[in-house]
Amino acid sequence: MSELRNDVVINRALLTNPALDSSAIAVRGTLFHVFREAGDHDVTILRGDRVTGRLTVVVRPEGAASQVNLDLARLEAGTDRAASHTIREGGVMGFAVGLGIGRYAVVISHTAGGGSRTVLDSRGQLPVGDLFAVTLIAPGTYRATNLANQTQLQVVVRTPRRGEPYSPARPTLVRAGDDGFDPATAHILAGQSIVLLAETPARFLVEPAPPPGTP
Amino acid sequence: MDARWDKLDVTLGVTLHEMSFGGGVVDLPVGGSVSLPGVTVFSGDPLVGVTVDVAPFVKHELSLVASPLIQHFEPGTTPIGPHCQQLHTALGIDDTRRQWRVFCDPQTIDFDLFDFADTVGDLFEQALTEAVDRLLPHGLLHDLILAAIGSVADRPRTLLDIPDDISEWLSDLFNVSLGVFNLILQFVADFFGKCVSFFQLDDPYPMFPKTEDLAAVTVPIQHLTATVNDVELVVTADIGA
Repeated sequence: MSELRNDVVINRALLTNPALDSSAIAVRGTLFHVFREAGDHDVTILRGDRVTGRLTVVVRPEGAASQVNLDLARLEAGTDRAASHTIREGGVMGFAVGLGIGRYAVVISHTAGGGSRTVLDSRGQLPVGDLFAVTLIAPGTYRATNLANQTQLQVVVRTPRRGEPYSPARPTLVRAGDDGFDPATAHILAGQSIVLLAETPARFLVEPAPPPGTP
Repeated sequence: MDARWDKLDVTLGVTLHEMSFGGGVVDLPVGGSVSLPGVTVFSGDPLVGVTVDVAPFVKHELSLVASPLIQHFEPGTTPIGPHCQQLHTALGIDDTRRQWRVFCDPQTIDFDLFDFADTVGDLFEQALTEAVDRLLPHGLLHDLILAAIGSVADRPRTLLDIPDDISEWLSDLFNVSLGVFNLILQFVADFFGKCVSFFQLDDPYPMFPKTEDLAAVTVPIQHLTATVNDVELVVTADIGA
């Protein structure tokens, strides 16, 4: 006899395969921003035109965490109430969505001397050094496009063979520069992630490739 | 003494932690690294419970160290607790006569796991595997998760953190539980041992019953003792005044 003791639901977002866009952060797509300047930063989380969260990030030269990951869905639901984070200069903040169908944007402004300067507006282009990670589950061929310069990357996702060593936690880094992606083609196993590094201003769109012969 | 169970349901609860896709750490060309959060499969940590009746596969050994305890029972004088009195009434024990009573006074009781069939481990592995299998949605996710966590057969061991032998692990679990059981058993045996005698002798002892012509002949019993050797319990007493 067996039974399931507590109520859990499956992450339904894993059962669909929509395009993943760095300008609309959703489940399976994570944006990483690198904080290069010390000082205070105002971070605004948007879902459509609605502000779902505000927080402050204090960047210090030393003595702070090198990375903080935020779940934007939990932030919106109020279960992640930390309003302030401290990060080391050159450190990274990851913006992910754990559950749900929400699509979010992040705006980060550096505040100093009474002024404010936007260093990231994910609805547009990512600055150099930022990253966009996508986790691809359905096998097949995908197309990653840097909409800023229209360069493309082919990503081939296949199911692990029986007995083949397999770990989903093995991401593959791809550099996105002025001349395109490096490497030009990436091969991963289903459930693993591709991490796109912006070496030039970029907006990334990752989508299933249309079947051959499709205009 | 070998002891067996009519029914012995054992339930194991297993929490499935951190089932996710993606994640991991990627090194950056400029130095440093980034840790990916991963995408969780479930909204929480599912808890799977499996129950297996292990009675046919478990054998216990009951060891008892005890000594005879002699009591000269005087009706109305020798104290009987209220619970013991209820038990005497239920068992039909006559507390109206003077008697010598011999009780079993337990010093230690040990209820040990004697044998645990290896097949029990297989039963639990099978039950847990089926439970995990049913929990995961079938299709691509099912296959990928199982590929990520190893073979189905190894999954229960991973979940339970069982190093080698599941039956050995269960044996240890049983022995810890039986430590508590032994304590309970000791209390119960103490109560019964001092309440219900296993041998009793009327005092005075009726040698000849009353007849139409003669009165009954009784003799007093004095200095009753009881000893135990390798094969028998020996009760001795002085008969007559």
